[in-house]
Amino acid sequence: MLRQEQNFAPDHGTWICGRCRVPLEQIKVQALYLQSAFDVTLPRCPKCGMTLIPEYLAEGKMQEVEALVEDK
Amino acid sequence: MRTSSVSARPLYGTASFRAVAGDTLRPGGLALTEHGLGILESLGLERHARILDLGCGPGATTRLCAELGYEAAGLDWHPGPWSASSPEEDAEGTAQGLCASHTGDGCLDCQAHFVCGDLLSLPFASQSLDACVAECVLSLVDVPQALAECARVLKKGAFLLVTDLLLRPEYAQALATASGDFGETGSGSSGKERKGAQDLLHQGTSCLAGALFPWQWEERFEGAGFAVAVREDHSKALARLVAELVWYDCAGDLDWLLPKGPCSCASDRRRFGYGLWVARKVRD
Repeated sequence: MLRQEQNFAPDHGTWICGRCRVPLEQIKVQALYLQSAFDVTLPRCPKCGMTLIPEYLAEGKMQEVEALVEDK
Repeated sequence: MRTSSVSARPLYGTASFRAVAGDTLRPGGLALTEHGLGILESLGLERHARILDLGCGPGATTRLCAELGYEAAGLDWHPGPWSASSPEEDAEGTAQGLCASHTGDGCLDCQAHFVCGDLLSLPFASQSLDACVAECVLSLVDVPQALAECARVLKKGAFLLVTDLLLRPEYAQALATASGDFGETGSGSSGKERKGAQDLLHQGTSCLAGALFPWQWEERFEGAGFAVAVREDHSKALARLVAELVWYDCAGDLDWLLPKGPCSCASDRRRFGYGLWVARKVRD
């Protein structure tokens, strides 16, 4: 299939989960917005599941896709 | 889907589109199909009725109809445009044998049957069917001729379920305003808006070029002898599909699809919407 895997690393540096004190790992998750679901690999705490959305993603493609889904 | 009258490679013919849209190859997926069939049932279509799925592609809708208890047949033109697409897509395995109609087989798990044929010359007897389903396929063909064939094979009072691309009425207003000749405040079907619509129809050769304004769709239904019973806007289903195409980096395929050339889905996307109509054959 030609469905591109979406893998977004942190903007810079190594991120540590503030609660669990372990490094975040690139883990496949599903982002849900309105009635849509998007597969994506993001930095995530392997212990507690806290997920980091990099700034460039939040302000870039994620914002664009949100606007498309909202159909506004 | 039938492609004999389509000059440009349609969006549904790309492997990346199928990867995102799945086997229904259109906005809304099977949920929208089930919704439409539910409307037909509420209007009196009985189980075991004979339904023809026009441009069945991989056959998802045909199989669903059969599973719901209808006597279902799916019709399509050839194995699929995928077999003539790029080697890259063929290598991905998405192109080969996708169209269920090409096999000529029934579905082993249900009572669906598939026929390879032309939807502009349906291989069915006149007044032999209880419903025709055309999901995102009429916009690819000669609409009046296809609807005339539907009218021929349907019994009087039988149903036509259509979901397809539409041009949003507000786009006609924007178009007229931009051209400086929009001097009316009437509904989305004023003469000037209609002229704008006609101008639009002659832009481009992509499958979106087959999109019509809602009133144009309904004029064509009525011209073929149908009376519209239900009309619904499902543009959000199209928006969700476009969002997924963008998310999974498949929007590049829209470059050749959008009438104005380079991908501009951020600005052009609201030109297009998606509609559902249920109509009944009222004339012999």
